[in-house]
Amino acid sequence: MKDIRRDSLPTLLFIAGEGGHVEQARRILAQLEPDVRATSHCVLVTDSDAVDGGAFDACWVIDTCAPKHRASGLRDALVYTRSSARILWRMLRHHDVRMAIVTGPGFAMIPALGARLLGAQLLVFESWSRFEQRSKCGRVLYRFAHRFFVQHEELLALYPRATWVGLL
Amino acid sequence: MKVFVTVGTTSFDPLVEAVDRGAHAGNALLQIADGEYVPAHARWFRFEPGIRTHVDAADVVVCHAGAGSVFGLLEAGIVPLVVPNTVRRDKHQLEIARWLTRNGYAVVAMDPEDVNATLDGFPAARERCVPFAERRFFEQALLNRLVRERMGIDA
Repeated sequence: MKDIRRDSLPTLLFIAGEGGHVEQARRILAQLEPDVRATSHCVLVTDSDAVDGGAFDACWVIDTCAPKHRASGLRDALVYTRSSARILWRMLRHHDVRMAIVTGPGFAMIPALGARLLGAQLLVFESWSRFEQRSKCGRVLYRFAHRFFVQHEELLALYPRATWVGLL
Repeated sequence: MKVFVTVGTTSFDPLVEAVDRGAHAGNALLQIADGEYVPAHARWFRFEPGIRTHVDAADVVVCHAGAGSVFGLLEAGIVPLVVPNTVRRDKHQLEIARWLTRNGYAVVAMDPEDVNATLDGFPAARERCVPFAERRFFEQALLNRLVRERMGIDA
């Protein structure tokens, strides 16, 4: 799948944290028709270098520092901001990012909003683990997304402008 | 009864410790991620590239309530024993645990302390579960149209 020339194609970003978020991104990638997949440079932006990005053309890692069982501090925020800025600079300088597809979690907000500022269309999928409450990422990006999708019909009550698409 | 416990990518020491100190430890294999509690009785490992072999070899799969793990098992026709990880900063695993209980798709223990008792009654509880029937992704055409338009790909 990896081909050095593929990075000259228009870029389709998938912004997804480790675990189930990346699994959702993989499933979206698998839904793309073969010609769409073949003519797009599909890049996974994630938060762990342990993520298997094998299905994607490239994998960019944002350092979020804070483990999931403790609150993040100032140092974590600085590391995350610097790392996000580096990714945004990479997008601006070297890639034609046309679309960003986001599956969360919270770390995805800055790269997603950055991609939107750089002109990318923003598609956001609320996480498949949400049934009763909005995620932080979903709550913020709902305001900025060009299209917002939910995987469970009951979430339409919380996101009236969203589209229900079924479980990835 | 062979038990396989998986906590996904985030540590869940209360679950690991509860199983390791319980009556099923001798027949249990635990995937513990970066947890600090090191099992003394059960076999264990932190991460492996693929856990499917362990899932297939087990009579019961105990998992955290991460959606990736839960949906992966349900789609494979496996009824798991699900325990929400509330050690995490966000408590969203409680949502999926309640949803599983409402729909009867899995056996759920809301507290790790209850996992051994729930394991004792698992065979009967599994019989009461219903097949996973959540509606799958049905907007392939919409997704591909949006991507085509934006990426400048002719239909």
